[in-house]
Amino acid sequence: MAPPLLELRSVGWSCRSFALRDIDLSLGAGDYACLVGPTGSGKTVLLELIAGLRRPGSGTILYRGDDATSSPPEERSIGFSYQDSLLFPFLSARENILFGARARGLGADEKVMRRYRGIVEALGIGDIQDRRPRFLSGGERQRVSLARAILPGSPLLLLDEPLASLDRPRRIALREVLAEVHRREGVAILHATHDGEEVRELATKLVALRAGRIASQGGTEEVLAGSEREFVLGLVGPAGGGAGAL
Amino acid sequence: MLTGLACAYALARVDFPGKLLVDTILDFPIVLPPLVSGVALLIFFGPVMGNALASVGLRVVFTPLGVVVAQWFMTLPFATRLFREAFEAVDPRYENIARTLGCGPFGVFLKVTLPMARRGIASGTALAWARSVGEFGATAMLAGVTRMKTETMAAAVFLNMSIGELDIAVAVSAMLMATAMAVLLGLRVLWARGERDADTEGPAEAVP
Repeated sequence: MAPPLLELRSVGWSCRSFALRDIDLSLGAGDYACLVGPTGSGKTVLLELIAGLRRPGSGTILYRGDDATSSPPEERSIGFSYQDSLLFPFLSARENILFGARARGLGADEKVMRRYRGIVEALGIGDIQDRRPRFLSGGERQRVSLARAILPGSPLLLLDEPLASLDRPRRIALREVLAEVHRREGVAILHATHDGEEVRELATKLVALRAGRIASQGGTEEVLAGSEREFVLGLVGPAGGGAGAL
Repeated sequence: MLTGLACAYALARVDFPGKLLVDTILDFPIVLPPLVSGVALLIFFGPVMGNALASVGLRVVFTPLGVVVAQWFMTLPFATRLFREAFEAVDPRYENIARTLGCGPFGVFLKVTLPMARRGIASGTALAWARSVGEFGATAMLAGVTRMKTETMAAAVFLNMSIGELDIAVAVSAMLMATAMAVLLGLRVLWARGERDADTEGPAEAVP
C-alpha cells in the first residue's frame, strides 16, 4: 500500500500559553480534508507547521514518504493561501502568480507559461492579469492568491479560511472554483474553515481541533456520527439547518 | 546604511539570546552626549585599537576616515530604529507565502521584505543622512576640526564663527537649513504617497 501523502506523528508545538499536542494526522493524495475548530484552537499554527513555517517542538512530519520535520518551506513544495489574499502589493496579478516560478528561475519557461495560461483561464482572471492588487476586488484577489499557490504544481495545498472574508455570492463562486481545482489538479487539500457549506460541498475528510488537540478525524460522515458529533455540529451547524449549515 | 539594515532586520525578525542587551547597546549613542561618544571613540581608536589598525594601514583619529566612523557611529542607532519600524510594519505572512513559493530566506528579504519596507527605508535613510550632516560633537572629538581636512559643514560653521567670519558661517548654516527643509519636505511627499497607497492595499474585504 502506498504511504499517505502527508503524515503527522505525535506533533507538538508550544508558545507561551498555547500548545498543539499529540497531533496525529494522515492525508492521502487527492484527499479534500476540512479542518474545523473554534477560533484559537490552532488551525493556522497546524497549517504553518505542515508548510514548514514553524518547527515542531516534538513529533515527526512525513511528506511524500520522507521525513520533512526539519526541512525548510522552500524545499517542501506545499502550496499555501491565507484568509487575506496577501498578494504582494508591488507586483501585478500576473507577477504575483508567477512569483514562485521566477523564484526558481523558470519565469520564461514555456511549460510554466502554458500552465499559467491554463490556470488563469480556469480561474477566470484573464482580464485582470496586469492589474495591481489594489485595483482588484476581494474575490479577484482570492482567485489570484489561489492561482499563485497552485501554479508550482505542489501535490498538497493548505488553505487557511480562504473564503471567510468574501460575501456569500463570491464565496459560492470561489467554492466551485476550489472544487474544480481539486478535481482538475488532483491535489490533496487541507482547508481550514468555519463554514458548514464548505465542509458539505467540498470535504471528503474532516479534522476537528479543540484547544490544540485533535478531537476527531476521519470521513466526514464518520466524524459527524462519532462521539464528538455535538462538538463538530456546534462548529459547522446542524444538517439541513439553512445557510451555512451542514 | 547596510549595517543599519542588517541590525534592524535581525532585531525585527530574529529572536536570539541577548537581543534586549544588543537593542539597548544600539540605543546608547542616542542618549549619550555626542561629546562623550566622541571621547569613547577617541579612546577606542587611539590607545586601544590605534596601533593594530595602523598596522593594516587604517588611521582613524584626526583623519577624514574618522569623520566617516563618527558619523556612522552616531547615525547607526537612529537608522536602525527607523529601519526596524519599517521591517516590523511588513506582515510576516507575506514572507511566509514567499517561502512556500520556493524563496530562501535571503531571496525573501530581497524580493519581498525590502520592496515592502521601501518607503520606511527611504525615510530612514534620508533622516539618518540629514542627522549625520549636522553631527558635530563626536566628529570633532574623533576627527578633529581641521580646515580642508576634516571640515564638515557643521565644523565649518564652528570654525568660521570662532574666527569671526560671520558671513561664511551664516552661509553654511543657511545651506544646512535648506538641506534639512528639503529632506523634510521630500519625506512629507513620500509619506503622503505611502498613506494613499496603504488606503488601497488593505485586506481582501477592503474592496468587495
